[in-house]
Amino acid sequence: MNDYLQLLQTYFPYVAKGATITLQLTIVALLGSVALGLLTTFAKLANLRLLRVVATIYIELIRATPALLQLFIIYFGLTSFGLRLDPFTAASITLSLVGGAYAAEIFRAGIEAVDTGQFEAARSLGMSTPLAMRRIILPQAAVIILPPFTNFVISMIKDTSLALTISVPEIMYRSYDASSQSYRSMAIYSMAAILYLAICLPLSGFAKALEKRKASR
Amino acid sequence: MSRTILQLEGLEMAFGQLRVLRGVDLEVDEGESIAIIGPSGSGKSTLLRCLNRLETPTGGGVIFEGQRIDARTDINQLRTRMGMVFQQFNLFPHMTALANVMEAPVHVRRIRREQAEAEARRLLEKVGMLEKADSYPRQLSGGQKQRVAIARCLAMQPRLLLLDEITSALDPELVGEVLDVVRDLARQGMTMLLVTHEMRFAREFADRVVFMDGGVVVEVGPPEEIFTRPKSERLRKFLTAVLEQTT
Repeated sequence: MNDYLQLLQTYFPYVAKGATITLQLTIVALLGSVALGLLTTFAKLANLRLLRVVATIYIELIRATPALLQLFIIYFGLTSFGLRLDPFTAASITLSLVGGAYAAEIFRAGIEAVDTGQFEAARSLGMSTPLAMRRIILPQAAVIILPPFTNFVISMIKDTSLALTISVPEIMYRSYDASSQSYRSMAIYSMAAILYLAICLPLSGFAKALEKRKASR
Repeated sequence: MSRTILQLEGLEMAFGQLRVLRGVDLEVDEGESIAIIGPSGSGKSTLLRCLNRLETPTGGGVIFEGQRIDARTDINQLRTRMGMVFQQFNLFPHMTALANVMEAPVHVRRIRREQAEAEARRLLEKVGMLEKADSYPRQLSGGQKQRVAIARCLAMQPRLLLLDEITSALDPELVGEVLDVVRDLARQGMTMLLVTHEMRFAREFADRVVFMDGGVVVEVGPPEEIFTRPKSERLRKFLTAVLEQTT
């Protein structure tokens, strides 16, 4: 028991510091995902065929390949073209690209779930398409999107652990490091698990509450 | 001598192979109330939707207020002059009744908020919904929703109202309150095209009744003539079928 406390004292601060990096990476990747996701959604809903095709190809390419592979292509692969990114940047770009494709699908589903009559009513009052989107469709879509988007945020947090493979010092990297130093894998990885749980469980509770509220409406 | 406000010249609409409108001719005078009747699938609703360009007609012409509508027409501007009320109300659920009515005047006509609110309250009062101004659509009955939808439409000061089966989604006891509003508007000289299944109302309210079948106008005339002396076999059959249903 004493031994455990000692271990905790030695390694927990080190592993916990990784949580800051994990959160930073999550926030940057989320901002990137939302921006890319919105762009992709509007491209998919656009009248111009070319835009729709580009958006579809992007989404399909991302979804049909593992995120780890994409990370390696961005971090290691691009060096063949002389592009050497630092690990945090490479991870941010990769997770934004991955997240953008999934977010686009969530956004599109949300927009399409708004009754078409809403759009027609807005248009019949003389609203332009962008105005109808902004004032009528998106506010309703946002409510529909919130629960699946919260789940998306949770999986993004967990996906940041992939950055371990390119030495971004986030939670997983630090616990791997600590466990190879201490040979106490179970104890160390349990600390990492507790950190992830502490971040994700409240969010998942939030998503559940939202879904319940929507169902009771 | 009243002025022609709307003129349709051989209006056609096809969805792929399906020809829904096969050349509709019609002239509407300012201040006229016109009821459009006909079996389902006859193209009544599509006709209204073509007029304000929710659907783009595949042939023929529309002249509205002396202006031919074509690819160069500013559709948003056109729609502000031609209001549409829907069967399913389509109120904006995230806004109160008052905000629903104010939305387009503020964001499309760009009039001042205070002025828009005063106008919206006046219109809500006109349709008997002033005391529900701060209610959300989900707190309103079908008839109340439809009355708010009519007020929302009127807020754009349209020159022509298109009413698309506005009582079809209502419980029978709520139909009357909506039709009262429509009757009032007709009395005040609003030009209206009303697609309806309420034969009794069509007969009492309309200056002229248009009978459509198979994508064309089969008969047009004053209600007395259409309902008591139908000329065509198709109208006679339709009226018999409808009367059987209601009795």
